[in-house]
Amino acid sequence: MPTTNPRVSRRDFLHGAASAGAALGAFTILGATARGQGKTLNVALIGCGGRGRGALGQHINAANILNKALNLGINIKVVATGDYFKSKAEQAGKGHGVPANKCFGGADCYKKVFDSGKVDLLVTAATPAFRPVHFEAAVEHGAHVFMEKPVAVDAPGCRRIIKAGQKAKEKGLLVVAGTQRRHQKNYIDAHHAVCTEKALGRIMGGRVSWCSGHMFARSAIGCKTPADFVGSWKNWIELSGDHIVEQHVHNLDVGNWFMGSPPVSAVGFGGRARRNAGNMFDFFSIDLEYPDGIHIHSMCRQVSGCWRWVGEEFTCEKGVVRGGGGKGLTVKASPVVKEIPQVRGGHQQEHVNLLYCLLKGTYINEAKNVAESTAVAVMGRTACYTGQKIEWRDMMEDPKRKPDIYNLTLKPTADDFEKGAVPIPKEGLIPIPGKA
Amino acid sequence: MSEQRERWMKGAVAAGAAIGGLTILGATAKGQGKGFKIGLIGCGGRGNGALGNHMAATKHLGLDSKVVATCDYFKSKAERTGGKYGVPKEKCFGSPNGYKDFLKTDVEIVLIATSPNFRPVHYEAAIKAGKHVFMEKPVCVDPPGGRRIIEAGELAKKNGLATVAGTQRRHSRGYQQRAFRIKAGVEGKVAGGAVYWCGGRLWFRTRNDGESDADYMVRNWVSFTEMSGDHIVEQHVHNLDIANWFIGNPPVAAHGFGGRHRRKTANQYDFHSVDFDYGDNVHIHSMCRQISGCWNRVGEHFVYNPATKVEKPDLKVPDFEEHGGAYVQEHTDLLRSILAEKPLNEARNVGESSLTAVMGRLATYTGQEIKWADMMKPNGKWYGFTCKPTAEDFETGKVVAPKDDVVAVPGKG
Repeated sequence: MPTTNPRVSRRDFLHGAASAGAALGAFTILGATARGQGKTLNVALIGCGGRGRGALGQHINAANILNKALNLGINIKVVATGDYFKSKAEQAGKGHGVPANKCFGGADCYKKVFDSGKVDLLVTAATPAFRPVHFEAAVEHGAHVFMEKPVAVDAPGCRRIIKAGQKAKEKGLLVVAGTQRRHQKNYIDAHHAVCTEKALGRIMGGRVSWCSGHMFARSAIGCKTPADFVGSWKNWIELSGDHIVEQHVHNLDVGNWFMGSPPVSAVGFGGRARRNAGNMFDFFSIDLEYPDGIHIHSMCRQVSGCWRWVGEEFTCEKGVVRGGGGKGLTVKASPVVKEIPQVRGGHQQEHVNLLYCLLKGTYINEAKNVAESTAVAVMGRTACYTGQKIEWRDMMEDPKRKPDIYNLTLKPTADDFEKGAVPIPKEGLIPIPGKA
Repeated sequence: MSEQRERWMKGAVAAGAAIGGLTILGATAKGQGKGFKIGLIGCGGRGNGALGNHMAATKHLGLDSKVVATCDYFKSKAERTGGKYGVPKEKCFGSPNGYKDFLKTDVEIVLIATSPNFRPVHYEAAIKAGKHVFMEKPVCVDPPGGRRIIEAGELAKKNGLATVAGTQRRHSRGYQQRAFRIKAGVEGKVAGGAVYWCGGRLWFRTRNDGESDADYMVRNWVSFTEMSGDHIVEQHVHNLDIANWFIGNPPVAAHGFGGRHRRKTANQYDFHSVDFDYGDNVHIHSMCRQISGCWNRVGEHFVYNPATKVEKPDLKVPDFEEHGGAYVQEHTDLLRSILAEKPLNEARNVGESSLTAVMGRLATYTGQEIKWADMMKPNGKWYGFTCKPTAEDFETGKVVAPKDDVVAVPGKG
């Protein structure tokens, strides 16, 4: 993205954004500075860890890239930072000249960020469990959003993202997510060749995988306080969603993208072979059933010394396609807008695309995509934890069929952190499917 | 398989006529009272079941067969089964070496349903002794065992001996018709799919006071990898066999995930989830689980490639015989093939399906990619991998049981 892909229909946007229509003509969000040279974008960062600082740097760099290529004259001004840890917010702010009194800490740091002044665009890479709350607040505030994946840790969180994403659309706010394969030209072209140009016929099955080595803590963390808990978030189901959500969501996102919809159901198998800290599994293997009886095998593992593969592959009637393309597959008419500079790394390209859209008045909103991909990961995880078959309609669409699945909420929630009532999960206590 | 199946189908037509003048059966074949001398090695639940199925097939064909010998690790079990069929006590053999004396009797058709780790030794000995064989699935627990089955199967072929295996879906009308349609091309080629044996937990035994390692392992065989091959081999082999059959070859590689959540004794996993790469971009997701209170499904799902479909409006799909269910039909097919002197030989099919399951297990236990060539080529990494104790260790009394609850862990810490 941005592309001429009909799936993100410009016409739909124009129609849906009629009330925000004014924004297209003269991008009011950028105010007077939007015309001519010297446009300034007030940007805030929430979640000042490695990925957050990295994303902010890439965002600023994207402005430089676009300025250089298209002479757009964008000026990114970092106006505020927020993190659960005030010290991290200050550290991140300092590098961008943010005054200390605009660097906020605490579970409610996001409120302080939005109360501190007008934020045109939020870059957020906070712990996934906090994403729905932060995203809602950003949309409420009227900020465009770049948000890292995943965007929730449970189904209610995913639905909140979708709902807030709709609201963003109504307000003409742009949303780009950190599922960066959707911004890589090789992926976009492969997708277009297979799914739009039908170069290989229909997709008949596939595999998506993030199998790599050990990650995160190697010995017991011994959390005592909420701060310990947030500080080690990547090791905990309740904060990261487990690694199927936190990492493998990238490949599941490609699965949904190529299949054209989320799966109907998931059956799964997982466990903890080597991990000895936190409470997550270290492998999942899932049978995703998509419409028309097409199955995708989702695999992810964080165990060292094992077979590794990160990627996606789809078997089609007339050949096979890897997510990023493949031998002998050429796109007839690439949907990638020619004037957008193509740079190395999806992490960088996604910010280039976001800013390009923002300045050219091209609407983009990836909230639903990333929320659905996150939800697929949650569905797979729930299948593995319980041993049950989990259906999409039960988890995402119908509150009445299986309320326990529809409402399943991981605790502590973001709200619990704000209230200061944070029960810390027992380390090493992992889910076990079935019964004795 | 298809070649043998075709041969059998042709053979079956001739079978009726062949009954008249058989030489293979010796004296009993002439005139009234045609029948076979039957023996059973492995007198547990499935062995007794198979014997019952065999006798039902015998009756269906109007034969007058007789059970003449039995054999089991536990002599008492051999005697109990023998007693039901009027087998004299001296023809009921016990001990891990009992099969040797058993095979010296005049038994003509041997049914083998011992635990799978013994199968290669028992099958090979039976073929070398000139017997027709029905053997239960799976037929091995490791790569050398699987290859031994395939080799003995070649000897059987050479010597005109029949071999039918307990992968009974190959004798079911529905499956045979589907396979027939695939072979004819009217379904299209298999492009992908998923095969399942997800069910509740199985039975298990705990060790008796003072019980020897060997006795405990034999009684609790269905929980020991070294005895059963793990449940992916022991049970899920049925579904993997269908994938091999419908696709037409065994997989080239496996990537797997598995573990043990709820099992109580010995050392098997209780779930496996494996990506089988069949080559030509065809992948099958194999799933098996033995945990109660989970989602269950036993079956196979295939996606066929319409681009490879051949239109044959006049195709006539045979009404394959399935009398008394596939468990009986497999014996009927065995007997018909012997009577027709066109002996069926399923050793390679079942050997390859068992090896497919072994490959999946190696993948889940190690976390590595396991290739078919790793097990089948002499320089392959897993070519010589042998589960211990072996069948021979039982014969020589050198059995040390693996520890309960010490299970395979993939990767490294």
